[in-house]
Amino acid sequence: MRFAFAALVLVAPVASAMACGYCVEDRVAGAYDHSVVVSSLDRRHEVAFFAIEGPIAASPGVRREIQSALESTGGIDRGTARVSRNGTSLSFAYDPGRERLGPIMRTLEKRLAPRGLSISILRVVN
Amino acid sequence: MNRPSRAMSLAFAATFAAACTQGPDPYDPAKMDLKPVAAKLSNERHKGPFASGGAISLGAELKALDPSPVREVRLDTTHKIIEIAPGVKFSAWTFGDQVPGPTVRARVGDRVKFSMTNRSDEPVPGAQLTAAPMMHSMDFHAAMVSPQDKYRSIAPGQTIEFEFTLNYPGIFMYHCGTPMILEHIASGMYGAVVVEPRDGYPTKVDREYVIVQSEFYAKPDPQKRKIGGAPLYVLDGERLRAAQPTHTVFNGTHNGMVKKPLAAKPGERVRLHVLNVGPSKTSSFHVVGTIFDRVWFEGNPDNQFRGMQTVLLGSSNSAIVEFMIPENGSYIMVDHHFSNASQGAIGLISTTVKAEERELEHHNLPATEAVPTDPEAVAGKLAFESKCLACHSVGQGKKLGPDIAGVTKRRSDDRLARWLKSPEKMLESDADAKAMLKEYNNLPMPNQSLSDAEIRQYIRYFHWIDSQPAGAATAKAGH
Repeated sequence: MRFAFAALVLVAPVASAMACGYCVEDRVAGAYDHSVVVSSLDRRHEVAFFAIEGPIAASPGVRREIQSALESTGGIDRGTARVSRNGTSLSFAYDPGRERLGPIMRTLEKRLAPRGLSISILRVVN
Repeated sequence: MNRPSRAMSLAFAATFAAACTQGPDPYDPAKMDLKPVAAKLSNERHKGPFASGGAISLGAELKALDPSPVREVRLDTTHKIIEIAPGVKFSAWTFGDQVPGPTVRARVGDRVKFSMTNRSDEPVPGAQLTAAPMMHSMDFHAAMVSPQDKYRSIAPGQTIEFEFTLNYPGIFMYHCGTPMILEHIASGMYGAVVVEPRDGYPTKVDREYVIVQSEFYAKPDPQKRKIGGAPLYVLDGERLRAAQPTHTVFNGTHNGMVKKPLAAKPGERVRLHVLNVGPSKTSSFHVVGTIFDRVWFEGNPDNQFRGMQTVLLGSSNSAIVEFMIPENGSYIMVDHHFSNASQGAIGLISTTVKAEERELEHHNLPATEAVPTDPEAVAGKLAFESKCLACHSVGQGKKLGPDIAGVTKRRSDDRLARWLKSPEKMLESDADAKAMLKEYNNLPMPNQSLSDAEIRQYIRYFHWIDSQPAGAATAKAGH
């Protein structure tokens, strides 16, 4: 396997309380798609994982809304956005040569804010 | 001394005597080894066997305790196709490349040095139908450690190593703890750790076996993919969330230990280490023909019951049950919740097992008997083997009722459907039905309250039987 998980954990304000879907690794695992990670790293793109905070319901409808917000955000590689089944994390790939993560994150935050949701970064795989 | 004060004196003396004879608390936290050693995560991929270590047993027969105080245990994760019932090839996720995962045996005070490589991305020879690679983790119920450090999820290609000391005796579940946990367990990621008391068990036995009960929630692959000509089955998420399993099994296979019974001899004492994995059903574990002389709930001799008929185990509960084999026979292990038993939670301990048959036992080997590939016929076969074999054979002649082989040539589908739906109604007016009743000693066929869908499955199975070369199709009793 050519890729390695980056040791880069930028910010992890999420409480590492339980091993049942709420600690960092579990949230990353929830939004992890191996094919996205492998193909993105092959192209020297990065994959970012975020915790979703707020009054979220794990209903398919809410997840679809988040997914749709992700897919319409500039800088995110098409077809790489993933929202975890329990609705507590998301991930996407992007090209760091074209767009920095900060602006992507701020745009996404603006789109999710009306729903009372915020995001915090868990991990970037590069 | 008057009576009350004499009684008080006796009670005091008894309490004092008990206090004097009581040894040190074996669960004194001050004497437990809780020294943390941080887990080690690396990108080094292990390429050897998927499971290794002197303390592991791959099948039902539990190996004797390895005297080494340090147990090196490797259980890699894989994705593979397993056969959970004849013709039901299920896309599973595993520890050690088998379901259930290998059993680890150790004793209190032993140090376990565990390593695991996530190999879910490795291709399976001959099968490209396994689930997409994903993150996995290991959660040992036998350990007292930080979940955030030791039980973290690792990506395909990564390896995690951690160690812990066993502080309590018992039979403990291990499982993948990566979200969605329910899916990871229901896909096969579980096993048992048997921890003996520091000084061993208080009884001696002749045989020891591990019985792991679990549920599968399988549906035919919506993409209709096949493996080796048989339909692929995948996890049925709706049934899983509704706790409606399609198969409830011992040691990974429907009626598996009926076909390959465990061995024992008359007069022997047998110890079963029973773990109910769930993930969602309770087990009322019973062995027909004997009484549990001792039950150690959770596998700890301090939690003792005597003379029990069943032991009730919720998800992740366990027990050691010990009993005598009184005479020659086949003693039936069963979940006395019979809806679970009818889904495959049945096994035998038999005095007639030949040694070579035992040695051949290996879970999830492909079945060699002819089996249907049509999912409806497969469902019909499983239902038939659970409900009908007491009275009917397949190609082996009459029993209490007719041989099922050839029935679709003797009767039309419509007639079979009417008969299966309401045999008592046909017996009121149908001359052939009345003649058959007479031929079979006036033993009427019971109404099994079958749905139309179940009747269709039976008939599909009967047609499959009649499409096989003579003698090729057989059926084996569920219980």
